[in-house]
Amino acid sequence: MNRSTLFALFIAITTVGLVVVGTIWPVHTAQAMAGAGYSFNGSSEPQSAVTNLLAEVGSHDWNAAYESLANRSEFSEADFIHDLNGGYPSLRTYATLADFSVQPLHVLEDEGKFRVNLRWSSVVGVFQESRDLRVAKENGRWKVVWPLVAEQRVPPQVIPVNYLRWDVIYRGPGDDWAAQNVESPHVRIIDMRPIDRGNGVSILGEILNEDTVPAFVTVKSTLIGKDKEVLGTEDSFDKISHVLLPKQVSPFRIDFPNVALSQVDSVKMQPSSSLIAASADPVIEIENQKLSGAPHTSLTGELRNESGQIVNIMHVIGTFYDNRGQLLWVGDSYENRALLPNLPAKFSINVPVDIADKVATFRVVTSSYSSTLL
Amino acid sequence: MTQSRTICVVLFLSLSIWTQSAFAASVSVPRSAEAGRTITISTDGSGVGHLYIVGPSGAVERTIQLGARISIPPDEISNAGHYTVFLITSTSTETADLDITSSPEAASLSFLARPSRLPVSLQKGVGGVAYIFDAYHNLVMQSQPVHFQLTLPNTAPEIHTVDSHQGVAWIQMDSSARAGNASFEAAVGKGTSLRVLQEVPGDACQLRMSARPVGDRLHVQTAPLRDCTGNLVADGTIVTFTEIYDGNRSTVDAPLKNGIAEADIPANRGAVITVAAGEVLGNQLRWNGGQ
Amino acid sequence: MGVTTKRRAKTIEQFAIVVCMLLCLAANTLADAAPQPLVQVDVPPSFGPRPLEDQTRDAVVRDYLKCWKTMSQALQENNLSVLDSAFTGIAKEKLAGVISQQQKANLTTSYRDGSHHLRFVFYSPEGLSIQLLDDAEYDVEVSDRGKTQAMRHVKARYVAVLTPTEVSWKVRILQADAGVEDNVTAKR
Repeated sequence: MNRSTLFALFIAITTVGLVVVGTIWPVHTAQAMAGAGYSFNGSSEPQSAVTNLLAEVGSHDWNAAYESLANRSEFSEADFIHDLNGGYPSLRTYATLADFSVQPLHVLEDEGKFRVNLRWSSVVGVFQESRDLRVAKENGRWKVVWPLVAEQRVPPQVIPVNYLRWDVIYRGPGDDWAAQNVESPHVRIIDMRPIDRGNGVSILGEILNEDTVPAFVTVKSTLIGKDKEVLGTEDSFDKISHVLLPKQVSPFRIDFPNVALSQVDSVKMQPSSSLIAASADPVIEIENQKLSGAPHTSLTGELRNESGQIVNIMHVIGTFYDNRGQLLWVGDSYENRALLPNLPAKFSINVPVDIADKVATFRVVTSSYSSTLL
Repeated sequence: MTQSRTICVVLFLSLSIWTQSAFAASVSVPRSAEAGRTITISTDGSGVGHLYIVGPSGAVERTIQLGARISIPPDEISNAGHYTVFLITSTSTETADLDITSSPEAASLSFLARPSRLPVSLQKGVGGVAYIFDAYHNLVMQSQPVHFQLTLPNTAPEIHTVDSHQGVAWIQMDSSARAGNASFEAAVGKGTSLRVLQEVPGDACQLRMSARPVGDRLHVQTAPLRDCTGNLVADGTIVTFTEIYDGNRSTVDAPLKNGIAEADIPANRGAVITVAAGEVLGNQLRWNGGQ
Repeated sequence: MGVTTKRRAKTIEQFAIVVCMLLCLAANTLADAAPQPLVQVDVPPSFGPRPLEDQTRDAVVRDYLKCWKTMSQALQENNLSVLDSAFTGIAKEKLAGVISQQQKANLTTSYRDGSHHLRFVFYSPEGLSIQLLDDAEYDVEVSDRGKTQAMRHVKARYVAVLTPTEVSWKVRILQADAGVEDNVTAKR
């Protein structure tokens, strides 16, 4: 028997083993998400009622979920969907319920209360949500009383805006060779600092658009080892605000997992920029920024959209400095609901524990994505 | 007897030479011709020959009747260049040189204008290079007057005329004192080419803001922001308004439009409001409820 | 197949590989030994708005000489595909036109450059074009339906404009012109 046959046999046996284990001792959330224990018209156990409801939410079976609620007369199915999925297109609209946990707070004979933690999976990562659900017994069956959080709506109206917009005419295929494209915006890295994060190295920095036109920027970094070998090349991906208006500064963070700072001899930075059609709209005000104390230090505040455009995805990036103005950390968060004109929305950026007590000042920038296609 | 034999030999040789020369060909080609003109080639002799006109700029082949005149129309040889003419008959090969020169009439130009964006009042900051071509895309080697014109909206154009050498003319000009999109045009003969250069202002020289209540909020606005030569700072430049109140901070990054940036911030009595654009710091306000 | 036969086959195979390698080496050596054109390069002390760095000069000369080899190959084989490596824009289009003319007439031509006397005459301020004059000597040979018809030694002055690409300079204009002024250093 050769090596490849042995390997194939090993994979087959392992697969069968895992299937057996999964069947005998299933993970309850996975079981629920797969539809096991499904009950259309209420459950015989209070926790099952909650689990069944969340399973239906996870499989986007909105009608079944809505029908199983005890208080469905208080709101419409559309309101229920908007509460979970977002009324306006947003990250939440395209997120899927990856996992949930149910924790009983108290259960009496005909009512109970459970805390559910929902983990939504989106294109930019996972976001969590916690809700307290009440369950009530109706005609011998347990049903969930859904705590609807009515999403704010903007009444139909016309909001005049006169923000700037830049359009770019690029060189066309029929143009003479001498008709060169307009040159790329000039950008500059104004600060850079590598830090050791235990499980890897992070490059923190700030990049400035020193030109008079908008720029689409990216930053790539290469770690060079002691023997001049390349330890890794990464880019800032979404830990940067890619579109920079003139004289705007964005922080960036580039993570190199599984590399120790002691291995690094030098760092090669490659900022790049290109011309982009851009708009100065929307202007986002960041109100009441404050750093909450230990143990769970976070930078919180409220975002206010000062334009008339609905922002579908809002990205908030925080830069944290020590008392000498040195970069300590760059963190970010995404808002999973759309940001509506002049309706403030809270945000929170977590600060690592080992950094939190050194933070003296901070700066917050936002980048927004609006699209009618979303 | 010997004499008559000699005469016979001489006669035979003469006849042979005459026969040879009667069938030998020659070719007559103009030394040079202008692109776009018909080229006429004359040949002598009789019989059939092959004419080849070849060069890196073109290749023509004809089977010709010797003694005839051959016309090569402009569409067959329009590229300027050096051509070698071969006339090959069964008994001889004749060669000649033919230079096709570019037409002195400029029809188009390739205009390189750099940079596409530059600060105002920059000496020799604007560069323009024009390569001049005739109707057949040949580089026009004869000297031509090329007109370079730099125009900002609502200003008199700056015009310079430069003679081309070996098909190229170039110029360096100062950028204007005023900011704006300048039209940079090069013109020669029937050809013109236009480029747009953005002449941009410098950084802000002085920054001041004012505040007034609007409903339950405070409207902050900068005075028109100018660079040190009096031009309005570039549209879109980010101005940051910061309000510190009760240990909390609120910030707005607002873009300039026509030199003015504005934003609404919370109207907190006792709040301190600052403004900055890049490295330029502006004035500081303490909001005391409009008093 | 017996063991001896197998061994013999293997020996023959190894021998064949060695012979092939030697032939390749010989071909390479012969190709390298092909006569290289004589090249003289003049850079006037002041010939335009931008100084010419030595590195740029060397790259331009290298790429210009390469263009002659490419042109000769393209016209000898009537092969359009090789033009991309050395030509762009008008020069490429015109050479493609010549190849088309040759193909129609069943002609091929061969250019063997014997010498080049290069003079840089213009380097544009933004560095996007460079112009040079070349007093070239070369042999041109014409073949009709694969049969060599005639050959001639030619002296001509060429004007070339090269523009930079990502990795090399490419010839954008290549034109012999009897109208080129002799006074190449004429002040602009």
